[in-house]
Amino acid sequence: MKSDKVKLPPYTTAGKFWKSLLICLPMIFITFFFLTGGEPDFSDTTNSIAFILVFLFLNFLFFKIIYTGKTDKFRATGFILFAVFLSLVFITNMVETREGMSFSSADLLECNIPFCHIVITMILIPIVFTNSIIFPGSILDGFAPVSTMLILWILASIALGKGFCSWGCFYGGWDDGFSRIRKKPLVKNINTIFRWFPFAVLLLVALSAAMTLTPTYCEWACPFKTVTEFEAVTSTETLIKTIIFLLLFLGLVIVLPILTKKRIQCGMFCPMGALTSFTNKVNPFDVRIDKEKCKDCGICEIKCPILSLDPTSIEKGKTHFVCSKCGKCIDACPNQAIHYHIKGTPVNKRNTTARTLFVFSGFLFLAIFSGGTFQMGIIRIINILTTGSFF
Amino acid sequence: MEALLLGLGTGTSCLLYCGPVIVPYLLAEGGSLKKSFLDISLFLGSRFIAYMILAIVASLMGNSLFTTEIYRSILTGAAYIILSTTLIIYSFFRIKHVCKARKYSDILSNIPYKWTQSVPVVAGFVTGLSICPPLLLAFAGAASKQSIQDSMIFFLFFFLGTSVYFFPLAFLGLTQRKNVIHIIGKIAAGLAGVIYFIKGVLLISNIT
Repeated sequence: MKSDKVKLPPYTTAGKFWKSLLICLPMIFITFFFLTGGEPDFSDTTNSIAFILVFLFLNFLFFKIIYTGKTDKFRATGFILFAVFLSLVFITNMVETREGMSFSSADLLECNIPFCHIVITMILIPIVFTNSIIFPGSILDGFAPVSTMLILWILASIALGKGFCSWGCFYGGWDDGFSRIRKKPLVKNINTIFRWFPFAVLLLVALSAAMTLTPTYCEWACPFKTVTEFEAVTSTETLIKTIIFLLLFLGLVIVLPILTKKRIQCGMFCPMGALTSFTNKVNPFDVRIDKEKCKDCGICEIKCPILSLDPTSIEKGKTHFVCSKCGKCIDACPNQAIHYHIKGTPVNKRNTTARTLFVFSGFLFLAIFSGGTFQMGIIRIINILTTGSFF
Repeated sequence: MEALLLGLGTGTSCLLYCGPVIVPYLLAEGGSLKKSFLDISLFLGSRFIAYMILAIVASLMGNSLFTTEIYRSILTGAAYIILSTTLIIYSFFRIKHVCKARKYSDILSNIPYKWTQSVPVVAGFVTGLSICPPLLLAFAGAASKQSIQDSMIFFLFFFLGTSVYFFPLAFLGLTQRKNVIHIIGKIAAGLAGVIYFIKGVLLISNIT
């Protein structure tokens, strides 16, 4: 048992330095291009330090994924830091431009609200019925316009399926991070029925948004307003909204993930997670279980942070369709029976090509989404350390 | 004719307004096309009764009763709270999937299963009483009528026009074969109940 843990997974790249480095070369070139914007300029010291740190950090993580054959630990490091840095950058931007985290009615009327991918769950039905997008954001211009976010989400869904929720989502790192704080869960044996909860939330937010022609989830139930922006408290209604989102953040993103070691917000509440689950059907990658190697120890089921493994799915030799392909079960399996797989190829083998292609796609999205945020965050940190101000 | 066209023109809005109530119920119950048609008919029938009551009250007491914000808020708010109670009870009714919820389910276990058929009746009636934008337009149209009969006929044709859009929802009942759809429908009904409760309280407090 102990030797199994120490032994590197049987990927042809694992433990092979030069082969791993060769596989990392495309990532090195692409991240260099994206982080410099195609025009390297090292005249500014702070920017250059930020670029070097982010470039080295991202490529170190990807190299470790390839070299060690382990996925989750290194993915989660980048993913969790991305969520934290996004909030840091977002909040400091808000303070810089609006002198606070709240937005006003004027910002709503002028469509100055950045579009977040979760809103996609609410705009689809109203588009059909009213030919309009029920969100006070810009279609093409400004920060995070609707069109850019839609295209990014479609691309990520095609490439990763629900892997988006573990590799590309801006917020997922929060409950992923909190779910790792305790070594063992205090609350165990969560009923797998709760994996359907996000689908009920999706159904309801889609219908209620169509009913009121407003993004109801954003207005009433999004816990991540706590770490981004929210409506200014000017009435009893906005006060109630504020209490609701603070309680949801505390409960779904902090307390319950710590107690259960599960990603409660992402796996059991987020309507976007439910919608993205359907893209697993069109995505070429999935996670399979080698039934010959599987000893039914149940470790994968315990480790899965979003309830996508249970005895039925293990019996079928694959994860449930809500799987976010984080790689935690793959790394945890003592018999190395679980692996990334390309649909249509033989299933009963750990396949280096399938794993490399998936983790490359996943990490590329993570690197592209997070690179600019990391750079900006580091610049802000350097600024506050050297000048006492973020700006 | 005017009322029928108004109903046909605003029917999609009516459908969207009633969607969060009727869709989770149809998904949770389903069973067959026939059962879903029956549920929708019950929903629409009780909505029709609510419309008739509104038409009579409007004729006797004047439309201003419903177009004045304070009365509208109280009426709609009370309707939402009744609706929320019904939906929350329904979501816990005979739920077998979650151990912790079973004890609440057991409390309700003495109620015969046929009780669930009262859900579309209550839902139809209270959504009929909650004043939505299409209904306000209907009030404006009915205001020009001289007698109670004319006003009721106006609402009858308005009701027929809007009802056309509801019957295709019966096909949602065909998804019943999947147990998971039943579970999602039940959870969504409970969540809808919570939302309507908050909305109802806010309306009655005249906060919004």
